[in-house]
Amino acid sequence: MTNELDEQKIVAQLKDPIEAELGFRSLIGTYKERLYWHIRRIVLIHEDTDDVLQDVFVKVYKNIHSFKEESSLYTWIYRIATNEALSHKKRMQRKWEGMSQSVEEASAQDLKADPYFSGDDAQLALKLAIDSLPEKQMLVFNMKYFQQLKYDEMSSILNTSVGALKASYHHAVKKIEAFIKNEEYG
Amino acid sequence: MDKEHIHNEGFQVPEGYFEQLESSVLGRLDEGMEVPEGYFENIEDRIVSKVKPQRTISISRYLSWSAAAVILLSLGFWTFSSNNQGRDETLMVAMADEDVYLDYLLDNPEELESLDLSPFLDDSMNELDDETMIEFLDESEFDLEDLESLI
Repeated sequence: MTNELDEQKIVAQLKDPIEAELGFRSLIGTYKERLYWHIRRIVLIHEDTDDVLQDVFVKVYKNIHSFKEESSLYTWIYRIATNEALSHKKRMQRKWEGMSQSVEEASAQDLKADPYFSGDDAQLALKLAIDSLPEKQMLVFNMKYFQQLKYDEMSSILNTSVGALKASYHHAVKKIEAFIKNEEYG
Repeated sequence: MDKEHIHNEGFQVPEGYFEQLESSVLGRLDEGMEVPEGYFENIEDRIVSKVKPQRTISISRYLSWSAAAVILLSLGFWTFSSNNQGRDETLMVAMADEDVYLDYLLDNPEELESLDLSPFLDDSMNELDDETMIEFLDESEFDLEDLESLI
């Protein structure tokens, strides 16, 4: 989590036409890795992640004046990144469906073909299991298991109660276990 | 617990451990996901260049005068709007957004004929050199991509 003072400084710079570029560079430097991995775990492919990540930063830059500072910058950016990544994923799914391809198979093929995925069978199975989850469960599982975010942080990013998030995580873990067992023995 | 006390415990961490901690936690190499070498190092420049106005292109090479007239008109739509108060509602709505208005003009070329071109078509137009043209387009923050799509 970024220091609140750092965040305020970045926002002030971004809103000042003279300092905007400096602020933009700090913004990217501060969030690039966290956002990259957040997006990557949703869209899976490196090239797609790169596109979405750039779009997210450009969107933040262009819309900074509509950021009301009621939530933290971190929360706001994570929300934008989540929405952009999910939109990208849906576009891909529509494209595959339009080509009469199974979404699961197309997603698996793409991941295997990504030169920046070097996972073994178990890692591939885990990614595909997560990918098969309903949207919210997928987000919660990634944010909890890999990013190790706290439930209250997730709650403000996803605008969902902590109780509902805990339930989603629980369901996600059960489904992933079942998915992987099915892959192994099914 | 004070700092001195921690040192006396004899615990050590590998060199650079805390520097690498963040990226290893975030990256989770055990996920099998990698990024190209140096990816995170130059990403600032790549993204910043996307929001900077583009300046160093010789526009006149690509630009026919007819396309230039359309662009100048779209940029100068404020002038136009003050002279055409009786226009129908569709046009007024279209004019609310410069891009939409440009599209409108491209779809309705007949509108071009009824516009007052005099602010743009005086004698100085013939002497408009590349530099003046670039300066004008620069000042008006016209996006090169839009420009190229017209040609």
